[in-house]
Amino acid sequence: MKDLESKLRKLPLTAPSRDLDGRVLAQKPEGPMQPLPGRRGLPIWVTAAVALIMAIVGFGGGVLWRSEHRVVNGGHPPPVVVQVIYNSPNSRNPFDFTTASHFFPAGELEVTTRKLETRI
Amino acid sequence: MRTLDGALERIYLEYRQQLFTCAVAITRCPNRAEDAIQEAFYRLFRLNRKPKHLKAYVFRAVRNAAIDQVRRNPPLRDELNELIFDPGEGPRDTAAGKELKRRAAEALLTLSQDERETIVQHIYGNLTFREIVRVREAPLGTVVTWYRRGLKKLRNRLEERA
Repeated sequence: MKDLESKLRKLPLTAPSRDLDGRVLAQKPEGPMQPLPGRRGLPIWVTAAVALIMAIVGFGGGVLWRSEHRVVNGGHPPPVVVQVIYNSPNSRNPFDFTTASHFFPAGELEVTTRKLETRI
Repeated sequence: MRTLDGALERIYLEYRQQLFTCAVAITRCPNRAEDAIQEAFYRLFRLNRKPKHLKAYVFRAVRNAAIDQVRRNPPLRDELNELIFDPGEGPRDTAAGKELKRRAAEALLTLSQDERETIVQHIYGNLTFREIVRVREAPLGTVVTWYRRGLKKLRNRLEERA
Protein backbone atom coordinates (compact mmCIF):
# COMPACT_ATOMS: atom_id res chain seq x y z
CA MET A 1 0.00 0.00 0.00
CA LYS A 2 2.80 2.41 0.99
CA ASP A 3 4.50 1.72 -2.32
CA LEU A 4 1.35 2.55 -4.26
CA GLU A 5 0.79 5.68 -2.19
CA SER A 6 4.30 6.95 -2.88
CA LYS A 7 3.93 6.18 -6.59
CA LEU A 8 0.68 8.10 -6.72
CA ARG A 9 2.16 11.01 -4.79
CA LYS A 10 4.94 11.37 -7.35
CA LEU A 11 2.56 11.89 -10.27
CA PRO A 12 2.59 15.53 -11.41
CA LEU A 13 -0.69 17.36 -11.00
CA THR A 14 -2.45 19.74 -13.36
CA ALA A 15 -2.03 23.27 -12.05
CA PRO A 16 -4.84 25.80 -11.92
CA SER A 17 -4.74 28.64 -14.42
CA ARG A 18 -2.57 31.66 -13.73
CA ASP A 19 -5.46 34.06 -13.38
CA LEU A 20 -7.03 32.08 -10.50
CA ASP A 21 -4.88 33.91 -7.93
CA GLY A 22 -6.10 37.25 -9.18
CA ARG A 23 -9.71 36.09 -9.25
CA VAL A 24 -9.61 34.70 -5.72
CA LEU A 25 -7.56 37.41 -4.02
CA ALA A 26 -9.57 40.18 -5.68
CA GLN A 27 -12.52 39.01 -3.62
CA LYS A 28 -11.03 40.32 -0.41
CA PRO A 29 -13.26 43.08 0.85
CA GLU A 30 -11.65 46.52 0.91
CA GLY A 31 -11.01 47.90 4.39
CA PRO A 32 -12.36 46.58 7.65
CA MET A 33 -15.51 44.49 7.30
CA GLN A 34 -18.74 45.91 8.59
CA PRO A 35 -20.50 43.38 10.78
CA LEU A 36 -23.80 42.17 9.42
CA PRO A 37 -26.85 43.80 10.99
CA GLY A 38 -28.11 41.66 13.81
CA ARG A 39 -24.77 39.94 14.18
CA ARG A 40 -22.91 42.42 16.31
CA GLY A 41 -21.69 39.82 18.70
CA LEU A 42 -24.22 40.79 21.38
CA PRO A 43 -24.07 38.07 24.04
CA ILE A 44 -27.24 36.01 24.28
CA TRP A 45 -27.52 36.63 28.02
CA VAL A 46 -27.80 40.39 27.39
CA THR A 47 -30.64 39.77 24.92
CA ALA A 48 -32.36 37.45 27.41
CA ALA A 49 -31.97 39.98 30.27
CA VAL A 50 -33.41 42.81 28.15
CA ALA A 51 -36.36 40.61 27.15
CA LEU A 52 -36.99 39.71 30.82
CA ILE A 53 -36.87 43.36 31.94
CA MET A 54 -39.27 44.36 29.15
CA ALA A 55 -41.65 41.57 30.18
CA ILE A 56 -41.59 42.66 33.84
CA VAL A 57 -42.14 46.33 32.93
CA GLY A 58 -44.98 45.39 30.58
CA PHE A 59 -46.70 43.20 33.13
CA GLY A 60 -46.30 45.74 35.96
CA GLY A 61 -47.57 48.58 33.78
CA GLY A 62 -50.56 46.51 32.76
CA VAL A 63 -51.45 45.77 36.39
CA LEU A 64 -51.21 49.48 37.27
CA TRP A 65 -53.26 50.51 34.25
CA ARG A 66 -56.00 48.00 35.06
CA SER A 67 -56.15 49.11 38.70
CA GLU A 68 -56.64 52.75 37.62
CA HIS A 69 -59.32 51.99 35.05
CA ARG A 70 -61.38 49.53 37.10
CA VAL A 71 -65.10 49.74 36.25
CA VAL A 72 -67.11 50.50 39.36
CA ASN A 73 -70.67 49.21 39.37
CA GLY A 74 -73.28 50.97 41.49
CA GLY A 75 -74.72 47.80 42.93
CA HIS A 76 -77.26 47.43 40.14
CA PRO A 77 -77.40 44.16 38.33
CA PRO A 78 -76.91 44.36 34.57
CA PRO A 79 -80.13 44.79 32.57
CA VAL A 80 -81.76 41.55 31.57
CA VAL A 81 -84.35 40.98 28.91
CA VAL A 82 -86.27 37.75 28.94
CA GLN A 83 -87.99 36.45 25.86
CA VAL A 84 -90.73 33.87 26.32
CA ILE A 85 -91.68 31.89 23.28
CA TYR A 86 -94.87 29.90 23.14
CA ASN A 87 -97.10 28.33 20.63
CA SER A 88 -98.75 30.81 18.31
CA PRO A 89 -102.44 30.96 19.24
CA ASN A 90 -103.49 31.68 15.66
CA SER A 91 -101.66 28.78 14.09
CA ARG A 92 -102.98 25.30 13.65
CA ASN A 93 -99.55 23.90 13.99
CA PRO A 94 -98.90 22.99 17.63
CA PHE A 95 -95.17 23.54 17.11
CA ASP A 96 -95.37 26.97 15.53
CA PHE A 97 -93.08 29.11 17.66
CA THR A 98 -92.27 31.62 14.95
CA THR A 99 -94.43 34.59 15.74
CA ALA A 100 -95.71 34.33 19.25
CA SER A 101 -93.33 35.66 21.79
CA HIS A 102 -93.03 38.44 24.30
CA PHE A 103 -90.12 40.41 25.60
CA PHE A 104 -90.03 41.32 29.23
CA PRO A 105 -87.78 44.02 30.59
CA ALA A 106 -85.42 43.55 33.43
CA GLY A 107 -86.76 43.00 36.86
CA GLU A 108 -88.66 40.29 38.56
CA LEU A 109 -90.71 38.18 36.25
CA GLU A 110 -93.94 36.59 37.37
CA VAL A 111 -95.10 33.76 35.20
CA THR A 112 -98.51 32.14 35.18
CA THR A 113 -99.30 29.18 33.04
CA ARG A 114 -102.61 28.35 31.50
CA LYS A 115 -103.55 25.08 30.00
CA LEU A 116 -104.71 25.58 26.45
CA GLU A 117 -107.36 23.57 24.80
CA THR A 118 -105.73 20.91 22.74
CA ARG A 119 -106.43 21.28 19.06
CA ILE A 120 -105.82 18.21 17.01
CA MET B 1 -6.41 44.06 6.92
CA ARG B 2 -8.35 41.69 9.10
CA THR B 3 -6.40 38.79 10.51
CA LEU B 4 -8.92 36.35 9.02
CA ASP B 5 -8.32 37.73 5.52
CA GLY B 6 -4.59 37.32 5.99
CA ALA B 7 -5.01 33.74 7.24
CA LEU B 8 -7.29 32.89 4.31
CA GLU B 9 -4.84 34.38 1.83
CA ARG B 10 -2.00 32.35 3.34
CA ILE B 11 -4.05 29.15 3.17
CA TYR B 12 -5.03 29.87 -0.43
CA LEU B 13 -1.45 30.52 -1.53
CA GLU B 14 -0.18 27.46 0.32
CA TYR B 15 -2.89 25.02 -0.78
CA ARG B 16 -4.13 26.39 -4.11
CA GLN B 17 -2.87 23.33 -6.00
CA GLN B 18 -4.44 20.91 -3.50
CA LEU B 19 -7.73 22.80 -3.44
CA PHE B 20 -7.82 22.79 -7.23
CA THR B 21 -7.09 19.04 -7.49
CA CYS B 22 -9.74 18.18 -4.89
CA ALA B 23 -12.28 20.39 -6.69
CA VAL B 24 -11.42 18.89 -10.11
CA ALA B 25 -11.98 15.39 -8.69
CA ILE B 26 -15.58 16.46 -8.04
CA THR B 27 -16.37 18.73 -10.99
CA ARG B 28 -14.22 16.93 -13.60
CA CYS B 29 -13.83 20.29 -15.26
CA PRO B 30 -10.94 22.69 -14.53
CA ASN B 31 -12.99 25.81 -15.24
CA ARG B 32 -15.76 24.74 -12.90
CA ALA B 33 -13.22 23.77 -10.26
CA GLU B 34 -11.75 27.27 -10.44
CA ASP B 35 -15.25 28.79 -10.30
CA ALA B 36 -15.91 26.71 -7.18
CA ILE B 37 -12.72 27.96 -5.52
CA GLN B 38 -13.57 31.56 -6.40
CA GLU B 39 -17.13 31.15 -5.13
CA ALA B 40 -15.95 29.54 -1.90
CA PHE B 41 -13.42 32.30 -1.19
CA TYR B 42 -16.00 34.97 -1.92
CA ARG B 43 -17.96 33.56 1.02
CA LEU B 44 -14.90 32.85 3.15
CA PHE B 45 -13.66 36.44 2.90
CA ARG B 46 -17.00 37.56 4.26
CA LEU B 47 -16.98 35.43 7.40
CA ASN B 48 -17.36 37.34 10.64
CA ARG B 49 -15.54 34.88 12.83
CA LYS B 50 -12.49 32.77 12.27
CA PRO B 51 -13.48 29.08 12.20
CA LYS B 52 -11.71 26.78 14.63
CA HIS B 53 -10.04 24.57 12.04
CA LEU B 54 -9.52 27.03 9.22
CA LYS B 55 -7.70 24.75 6.77
CA ALA B 56 -10.37 22.04 6.97
CA TYR B 57 -13.05 24.74 6.81
CA VAL B 58 -11.58 26.13 3.58
CA PHE B 59 -11.39 22.68 2.00
CA ARG B 60 -14.98 22.02 3.04
CA ALA B 61 -16.16 25.33 1.59
CA VAL B 62 -14.46 24.56 -1.74
CA ARG B 63 -15.86 21.02 -1.72
CA ASN B 64 -19.40 22.31 -1.11
CA ALA B 65 -19.01 24.88 -3.89
CA ALA B 66 -17.74 22.14 -6.24
CA ILE B 67 -20.72 19.94 -5.38
CA ASP B 68 -23.01 22.91 -6.12
CA GLN B 69 -21.31 23.30 -9.49
CA VAL B 70 -21.94 19.62 -10.28
CA ARG B 71 -25.59 19.93 -9.22
CA ARG B 72 -26.04 22.90 -11.55
CA ASN B 73 -24.06 21.34 -14.43
CA PRO B 74 -23.34 17.59 -14.30
CA PRO B 75 -19.83 16.61 -15.50
CA LEU B 76 -19.57 16.38 -19.26
CA ARG B 77 -16.42 14.28 -19.52
CA ASP B 78 -16.02 10.88 -17.96
CA GLU B 79 -12.27 11.08 -17.59
CA LEU B 80 -9.81 12.41 -15.08
CA ASN B 81 -6.46 11.87 -16.76
CA GLU B 82 -5.63 15.32 -18.07
CA LEU B 83 -7.75 16.96 -15.41
CA ILE B 84 -5.92 15.71 -12.34
CA PHE B 85 -2.52 14.72 -13.71
CA ASP B 86 -0.40 17.12 -15.67
CA PRO B 87 -0.32 15.98 -19.32
CA GLY B 88 2.79 18.06 -20.02
CA GLU B 89 5.82 16.20 -21.29
CA GLY B 90 8.68 17.28 -19.13
CA PRO B 91 12.15 15.82 -19.13
CA ARG B 92 11.22 13.53 -16.24
CA ASP B 93 8.07 12.31 -17.97
CA THR B 94 9.02 8.83 -19.05
CA ALA B 95 6.75 6.54 -21.06
CA ALA B 96 6.17 4.46 -17.94
CA GLY B 97 5.24 7.57 -15.97
CA LYS B 98 2.74 8.65 -18.61
CA GLU B 99 1.23 5.19 -18.68
CA LEU B 100 0.94 5.16 -14.89
CA LYS B 101 -0.85 8.55 -14.99
CA ARG B 102 -3.33 7.26 -17.56
CA ARG B 103 -4.00 4.02 -15.68
CA ALA B 104 -4.22 5.72 -12.28
CA ALA B 105 -6.76 8.21 -13.65
CA GLU B 106 -8.81 5.41 -15.20
CA ALA B 107 -8.66 3.40 -11.99
CA LEU B 108 -9.69 6.42 -9.93
CA LEU B 109 -12.82 6.73 -12.03
CA THR B 110 -13.86 3.17 -11.20
CA LEU B 111 -13.97 3.97 -7.47
CA SER B 112 -17.05 5.23 -5.69
CA GLN B 113 -17.32 8.99 -5.23
CA ASP B 114 -16.49 8.68 -1.50
CA GLU B 115 -13.45 6.48 -2.10
CA ARG B 116 -12.12 8.65 -4.92
CA GLU B 117 -12.60 11.86 -2.98
CA THR B 118 -10.92 10.46 0.13
CA ILE B 119 -7.90 9.23 -1.82
CA VAL B 120 -7.54 12.54 -3.66
CA GLN B 121 -7.94 14.52 -0.42
CA HIS B 122 -5.37 12.43 1.44
CA ILE B 123 -2.77 11.88 -1.28
CA TYR B 124 -3.11 15.05 -3.36
CA GLY B 125 -4.82 17.38 -0.89
CA ASN B 126 -2.28 16.60 1.85
CA LEU B 127 -5.12 16.36 4.35
CA THR B 128 -4.77 14.12 7.38
CA PHE B 129 -7.60 11.71 8.15
CA ARG B 130 -8.65 13.98 11.03
CA GLU B 131 -8.88 16.90 8.62
CA ILE B 132 -10.85 14.81 6.12
CA VAL B 133 -13.27 13.97 8.95
CA ARG B 134 -13.87 17.71 9.41
CA VAL B 135 -14.15 18.34 5.68
CA ARG B 136 -16.57 15.51 5.02
CA GLU B 137 -18.37 15.53 8.37
CA ALA B 138 -18.05 11.74 8.52
CA PRO B 139 -16.75 9.48 11.31
CA LEU B 140 -13.04 8.69 11.35
CA GLY B 141 -13.65 4.95 10.90
CA THR B 142 -15.74 5.59 7.79
CA VAL B 143 -13.10 7.86 6.26
CA VAL B 144 -10.32 5.34 6.92
CA THR B 145 -12.48 2.56 5.44
CA TRP B 146 -13.17 4.62 2.30
CA TYR B 147 -9.44 5.25 1.92
CA ARG B 148 -8.24 1.70 2.48
CA ARG B 149 -10.98 0.13 0.37
CA GLY B 150 -10.35 2.63 -2.42
CA LEU B 151 -6.61 2.12 -2.34
CA LYS B 152 -7.05 -1.66 -2.43
CA LYS B 153 -9.35 -1.39 -5.44
CA LEU B 154 -6.89 0.99 -7.07
CA ARG B 155 -4.00 -1.43 -6.56
CA ASN B 156 -6.02 -4.34 -7.95
CA ARG B 157 -7.00 -2.28 -11.00
CA LEU B 158 -3.43 -1.18 -11.63
CA GLU B 159 -2.08 -4.70 -11.21
CA GLU B 160 -4.65 -6.36 -13.48
CA ARG B 161 -3.97 -3.82 -16.23
CA ALA B 162 -0.18 -3.96 -15.86
